Amino acid sequence: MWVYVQLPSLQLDRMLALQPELAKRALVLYCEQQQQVIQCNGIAANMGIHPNSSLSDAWLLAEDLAPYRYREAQQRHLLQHLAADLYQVFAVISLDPPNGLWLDLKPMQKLYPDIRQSQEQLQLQLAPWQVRYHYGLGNTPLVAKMLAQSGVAAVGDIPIQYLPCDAKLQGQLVRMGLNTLGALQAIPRALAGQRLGKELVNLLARIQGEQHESLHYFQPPLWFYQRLTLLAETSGWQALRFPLKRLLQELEHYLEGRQQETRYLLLTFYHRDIEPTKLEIGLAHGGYLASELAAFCQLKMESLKLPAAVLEMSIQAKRLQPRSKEHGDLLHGGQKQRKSLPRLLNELQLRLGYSRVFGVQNRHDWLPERAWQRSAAGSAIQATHIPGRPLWLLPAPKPVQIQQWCLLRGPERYQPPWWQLTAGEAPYFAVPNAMEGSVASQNLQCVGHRDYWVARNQRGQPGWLFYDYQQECWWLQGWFS
Amino acid sequence: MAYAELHCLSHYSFLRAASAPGELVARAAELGYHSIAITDECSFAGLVKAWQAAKALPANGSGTEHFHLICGSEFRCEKFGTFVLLVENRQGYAELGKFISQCRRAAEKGSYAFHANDLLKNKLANCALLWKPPETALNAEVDSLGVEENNLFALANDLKKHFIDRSWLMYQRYLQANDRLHMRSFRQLSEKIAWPVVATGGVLMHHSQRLPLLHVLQSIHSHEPVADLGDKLAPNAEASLRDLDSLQQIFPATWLAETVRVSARCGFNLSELRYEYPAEVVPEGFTANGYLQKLGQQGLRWRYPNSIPEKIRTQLDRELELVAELGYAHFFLTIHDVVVFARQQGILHQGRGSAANSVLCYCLGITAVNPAQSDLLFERFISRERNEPPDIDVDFEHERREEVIQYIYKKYGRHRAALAATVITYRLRSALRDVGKALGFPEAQLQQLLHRLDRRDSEEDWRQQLQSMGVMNHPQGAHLLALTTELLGFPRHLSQHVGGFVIAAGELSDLVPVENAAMPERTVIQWDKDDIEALCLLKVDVLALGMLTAIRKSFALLPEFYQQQYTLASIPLDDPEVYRMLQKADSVGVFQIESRAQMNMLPRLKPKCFYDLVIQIAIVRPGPIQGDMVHPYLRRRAGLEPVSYPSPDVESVLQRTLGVPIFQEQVIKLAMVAAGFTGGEADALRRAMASWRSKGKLMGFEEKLIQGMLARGYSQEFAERLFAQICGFGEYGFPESHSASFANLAYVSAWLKRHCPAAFYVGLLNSQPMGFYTVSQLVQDARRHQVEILPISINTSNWDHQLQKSDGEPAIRLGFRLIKGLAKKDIEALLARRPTSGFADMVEFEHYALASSLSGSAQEQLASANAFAELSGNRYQTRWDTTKLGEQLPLLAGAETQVGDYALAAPSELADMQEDYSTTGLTLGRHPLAILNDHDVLPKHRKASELASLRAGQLVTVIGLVTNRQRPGTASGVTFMTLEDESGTINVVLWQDLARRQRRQWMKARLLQVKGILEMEGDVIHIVAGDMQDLSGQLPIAQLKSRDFH
Repeated sequence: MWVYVQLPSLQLDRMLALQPELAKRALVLYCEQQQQVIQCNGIAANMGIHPNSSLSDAWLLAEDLAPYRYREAQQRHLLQHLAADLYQVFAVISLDPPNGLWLDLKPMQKLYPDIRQSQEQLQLQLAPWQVRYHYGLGNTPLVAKMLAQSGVAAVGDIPIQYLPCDAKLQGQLVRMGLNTLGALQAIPRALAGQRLGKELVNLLARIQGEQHESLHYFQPPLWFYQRLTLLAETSGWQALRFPLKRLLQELEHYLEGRQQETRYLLLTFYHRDIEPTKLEIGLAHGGYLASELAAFCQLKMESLKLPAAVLEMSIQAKRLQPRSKEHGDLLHGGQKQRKSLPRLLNELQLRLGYSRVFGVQNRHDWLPERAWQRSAAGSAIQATHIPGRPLWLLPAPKPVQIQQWCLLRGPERYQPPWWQLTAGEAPYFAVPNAMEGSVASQNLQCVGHRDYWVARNQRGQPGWLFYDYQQECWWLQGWFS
Repeated sequence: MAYAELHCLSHYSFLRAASAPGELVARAAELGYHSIAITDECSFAGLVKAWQAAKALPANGSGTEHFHLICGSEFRCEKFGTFVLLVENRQGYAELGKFISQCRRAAEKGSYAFHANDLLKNKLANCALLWKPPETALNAEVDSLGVEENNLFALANDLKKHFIDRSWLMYQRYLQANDRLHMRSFRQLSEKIAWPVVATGGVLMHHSQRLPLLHVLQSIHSHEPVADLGDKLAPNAEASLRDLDSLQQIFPATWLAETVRVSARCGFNLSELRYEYPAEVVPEGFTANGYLQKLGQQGLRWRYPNSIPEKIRTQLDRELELVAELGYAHFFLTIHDVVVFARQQGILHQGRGSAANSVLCYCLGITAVNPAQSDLLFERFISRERNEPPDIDVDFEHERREEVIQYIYKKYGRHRAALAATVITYRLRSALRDVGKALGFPEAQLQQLLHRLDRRDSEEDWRQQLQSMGVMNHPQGAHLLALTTELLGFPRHLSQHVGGFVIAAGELSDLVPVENAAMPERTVIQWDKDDIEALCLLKVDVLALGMLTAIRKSFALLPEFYQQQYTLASIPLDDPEVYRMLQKADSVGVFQIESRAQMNMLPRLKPKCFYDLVIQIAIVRPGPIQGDMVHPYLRRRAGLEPVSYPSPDVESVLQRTLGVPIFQEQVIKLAMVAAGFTGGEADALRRAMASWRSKGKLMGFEEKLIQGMLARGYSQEFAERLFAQICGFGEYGFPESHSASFANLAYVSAWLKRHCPAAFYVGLLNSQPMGFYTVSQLVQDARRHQVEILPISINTSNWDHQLQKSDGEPAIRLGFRLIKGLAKKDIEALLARRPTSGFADMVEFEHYALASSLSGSAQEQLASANAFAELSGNRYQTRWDTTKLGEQLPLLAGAETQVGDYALAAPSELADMQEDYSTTGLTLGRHPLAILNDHDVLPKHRKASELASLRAGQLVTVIGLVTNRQRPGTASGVTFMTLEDESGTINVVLWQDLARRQRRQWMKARLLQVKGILEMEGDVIHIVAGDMQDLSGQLPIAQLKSRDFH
């Protein structure tokens, strides 16, 4: 006997469980590529939005729509996570991504001779998840799945559209008045095969258990992962404490069920336009209590500044171990050894956090301060193609008295990025004063516009200067060798 | 110092440059340039606009006395750099036009094929050549050159021989790090190849302020956000038109002086272009005027066989005289030639637009509106004062217009005829999307903004709407608004005009370059209709109209089934029965007046004559509606309000429309008589109204109009009202002559509907897709007019719907074209073999189906459409019998003998209906509502047929299939819905607040319950909705469709 559990809105339901405030709005998860609704809550459904609705229709139907991106990977994680929970009770589980899974009740018969007991166990396991689900019971996996999906009680009543075959064949069956599995099964198999093809005959055989279903059986993962979309962009640690607490409670629930603890946590905070901020927490001794882990996290969080507002966050727990095991010290030993660069980097990153150890890389940009960017620590530096730049740039430009310099070559004119100006700095352009030694232009110039010159100071050292039109003064940017 | 800018791109070098040709010309003149060359990339597309801007420069402005526009074009080649060709004289213009055409024709639409050697192979003897070699070659030391550089020198030598004393190296300086090295390289190269150097700007913007927009364009072009482009962006604003002082500081004086020397060679002016009409339309022995005179007189006798009204004869003479005086005879003869071809081929056609004002056009068979029928003015068509070529648009049957196009190509050749271009410009949504992407807005956020933007919202403009959506909270919000505003109206690419042909006496490329269109075998010129108009080129508009196809198909049936024969011009005029039908809003399928808004107006306006129809068509337009002209007109027409005029001048303009301006011409004329606009100003106003960005442009006229009227003693209120009306017309104005041409087709189609309904519906059904209604709605309307509809039958139907006699009356036999998924050629192959008496049984059919290779899926579709009803059992069984998916199953071969021995139950009435909708989109069985009522699943409600007997103001509940949703551009935001039940249709009016509250119901419901107040005004009955319930769940048919217009 098989049970199929259908979870039509797993990702969305989990989102609501973690953020009950969202329940008041029409909430949809949509596929970014096709701009189509994948999952929606009851409020959205009442407004006429359903899975497969286009996102534009959803916007028209619900003015106060809360749309969030559907994440396939997260859906997979959630399904695995849920299966891992069920694994505590059900030994044979097979995943049917994205929205369902099978449980084989046969191995459970000794423990729960009555099927109702198994069902009760299932409900018990699913209750804390707070997700909508339907399940179906059948002699074969296919029948269980079709019953779960269609919601009918009898196998013969299963509508043809739930048959796992291509839409064209389904259409053909309906066009002959064969609207239910029962009507199809009533036709002698040989006749059905002759008219409707081998595919259908094979399918009927699978439905009736005459052909073996080859299912992949689930093995629980060795780590925990959960991702959460925040209700609003959040820029302070303080505001992140509450969602973090919920995630850690989920983790605690997970570890509790397995009698395990973790020695490694990775918190990832996702921003709008820049790389996510990652926070690693290595624990000398394992932990599993949410409150205890929260304290560790908080310690780390306070020492790190968030570079931008956070939109989403995730937590990953690895290095799971049974609770009773003795632990070694993660950071001890090896200090006296000579370290290779990668190893040194690893240790530095472990001690200081990933975001604080990085390499630099050239970036193709005209402005010197924008012409480099952070990159993964240890990566090789690529050559730049802009000629005539000094190798030695000052950490920040330094003001200079132009009277002490002799301009040699120039100007080289650069426009700072106007898109980084705020609305308050609009209009984009201002009229500069005419300036000696540079190309004075009657054209309107950009705010912050710079003219670079190669110049020599009184000691004969060649420097790279620029005149800033906005500040109306000269700056030293770097030195030529 | 004098400077001529010789290398300058306008925004017609799509996504490369950020200024309009006019802006470049005006700015160059303002900066005191000697001249400017517009050198778009392999294109003349911006030239006419630049020329117009140069003409508009003040003659005595400082420094503009000798300001000169040079025509040129840029060509880029990866290996050898950038070349600019400048036109020296008329011959050079033709040479360059031909060269551009050749490069463009050799590549796909939107691109061109160019290699530097092409410059050697083509005759460009009257063009100057500027060359900017690639940077890599320049930066190499001259003494250590590789193979590539040696090729470069070889090319330079060859070019020098080809362009003797006409070749220059062009040096450009953008204030970069390697400027000094670059300049030295240029000097060395110049010495080595003995080419002089000339300074050029390589201009991409008229002003440095356009830099952000240029960056955005570069970002759109490279599909990367601006912030990620780094050094791919222009580093500074030096690619703008710079002032003379700056130029003097960065270029050597000799190189600057050289610009003027080059410019002096380029004396050609676009005004020198002389369009010559095709000569072959005049037979030997005739002058063009003489031949036109002859055709006109012949046409007069043809159109008025019994007696020619004196007024018409005089009018024709007057028109011929004016045409001769203005030299347009060839134009009329060219169009005459095209319509004669159409007439010979039996292709129905009709001239529209201001041509409808002309007796000559009527006599030449170009138009079908009898000028005796209305009182239109020929001066609106051609006038001495305007001196513009007349505008003659001719509509042809949409299914056969291609024949006319091919005739033109065949007669004149592809080298002499091509379609005009349409410049596809950035509109709000495209601009917002592209600027948003460039600024790095996430796709989902842009989608959200675009979805929520309501273009029809008359209260808030798009900027306000975006602000209220919180866009300004985004760090790039202000940039998004500012740059979107700037990008609006920028050209994006060239497309083909709907049907405007330009035909030349000689090579078309002598006048304007020709390039490939997206459609195979189509070519377009690089100028749009405004350019063509500005240069007085001839344009013949060959347009497509579905209603002409429908009417021709209906006419073809009249002799056999109604023993009558008519043409567009011979349909009996002013038939009172036709008008009585229209007064009852019985106009489904009638051209132009079938929409809900038009139907709503018909019983109010009660058209009684042809001119009423002309008004009816023009009045249900956003212009008159937004200008609040409808109600005053109706009240005056009904005698409820006195007709008064503020002055005799205004009376002369508005008399025909009871003092209310309804047509576009009236508004223009009012500006002249009431506000003192000159002919030129009125013309500028007309152009501003025709422009899609008219609201912005029209604002420029506000003060002049209002002050002009106040000065002439009109009241402030009258002046403001008139301006509001002009703004309304701006977007959707309808000229009277246009309306008259459409009214003619409206009348003819209404006449057919009234007198030959079966032929009328067959014509419409065989011309689908077209019009306002689905096939199902048309068929139901036909049945309401007692036209019998016979089902699709394998033995009787053809591909098209046809008329058959049934009980002595013409009935419509539905054709196979209705069945979804059938290919015409497959069915025709079967029909060619069908026995005259039809197939005796399924076995015989299968035999023929096999012989004609009719696919299994086609047979299944025929079965599901019940086409075999007379041969076989129920359609389920027939479908089963015709399905053979398992044929190749060897394991099941033993079961072969059992084929067909399984009996399937017949479909229920509901299932039958489902199958009908699935296969054909309509049912001839009972209406879905009738079946649902039988099953007692619907709440209590009134039927459509009962409404007329109820009292106005009563609260009613109705239920029907939603067959139509229409949201006209009215100020109040009202939505019309049409519901259909088994007894007829119900008109529902929905106010904006309810539509907003019950979006799901009005947008998505297929079966709808409406509770509301019954309103009756004369024969007009509608329900003002108060509450709606979506009952679609009760409906088992997914294929029911509404026609939505919003």
